[in-house]
Amino acid sequence: MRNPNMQDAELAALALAGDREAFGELVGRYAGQARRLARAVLGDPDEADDAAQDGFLAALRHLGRYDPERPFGPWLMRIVTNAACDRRRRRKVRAAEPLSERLGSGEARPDVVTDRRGFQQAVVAALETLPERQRIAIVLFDVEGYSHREVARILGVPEGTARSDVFHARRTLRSELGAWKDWTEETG
Amino acid sequence: MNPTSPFDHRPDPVLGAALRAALATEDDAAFARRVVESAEAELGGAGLWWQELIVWARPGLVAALLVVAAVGFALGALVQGRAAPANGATVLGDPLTEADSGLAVPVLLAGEQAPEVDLVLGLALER
Repeated sequence: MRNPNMQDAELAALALAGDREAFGELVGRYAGQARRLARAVLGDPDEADDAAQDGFLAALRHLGRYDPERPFGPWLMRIVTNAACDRRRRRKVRAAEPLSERLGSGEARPDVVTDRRGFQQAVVAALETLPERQRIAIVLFDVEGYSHREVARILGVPEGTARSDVFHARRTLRSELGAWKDWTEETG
Repeated sequence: MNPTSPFDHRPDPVLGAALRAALATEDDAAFARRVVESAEAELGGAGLWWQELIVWARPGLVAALLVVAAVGFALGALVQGRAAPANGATVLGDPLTEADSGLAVPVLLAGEQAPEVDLVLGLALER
């Protein structure tokens, strides 16, 4: 394994020169982010993994265009986002019924299914109700810790639009998950 | 949920943790190995330098075709110029050996008597 202190840009340069180990290190560093982001877009974990893999391979093919003066994460996340969104657009028939339809019907009340798994499903269901861009924005901002400016760059929108997306996404999620407030306070 | 304002510039830790847990992925290391194997299968043993060459292949091909066309045009013009000189070009010849005139050298030499010097010089100067 490479030195964990090695900068992303150094690893990218090595990977560009054909160093598979350096590329593997980069994939390892960003695998979690990429997979979560793709899953937020696509819902289905397997399809999300395929999209994340598409993103990594596309990034590898275009490593020559990466500007080492800029952070690697936002550059990679933009590629992964595009890969996931492309896959979502190509998808003609969803492999599985949307979680929002299953969980949003009212039968899985928080006071009945008060377990962690139920809450997580509710979060995914609430996420499904968001427009695609808001979904990506809130995951990048609140989960992955990217700044509004970086989120804007990844999404290819003005910074104000990214702020607005995060704001609306938060408001919707808080509204959707409001019934779980007590549970999260007790267990969170 | 977290009572922080939606306008907050900082990430919401509670909402973030809930989303992170909901989107949790298993075995990132196995996923990374799968991606690296796919990359090796796709790119083979070569480095990525040839990928950059592919990017430049099309404009490079167009440039090469233009160069070949220009060289071909120049060679064609040169060959054509040798076969048929342009109007006004100087053509050097020997007036004494041309036979299209009734007073050409063969005619002058055909007689039994040698031609007069003045006649020969006069013919040469006229031409």
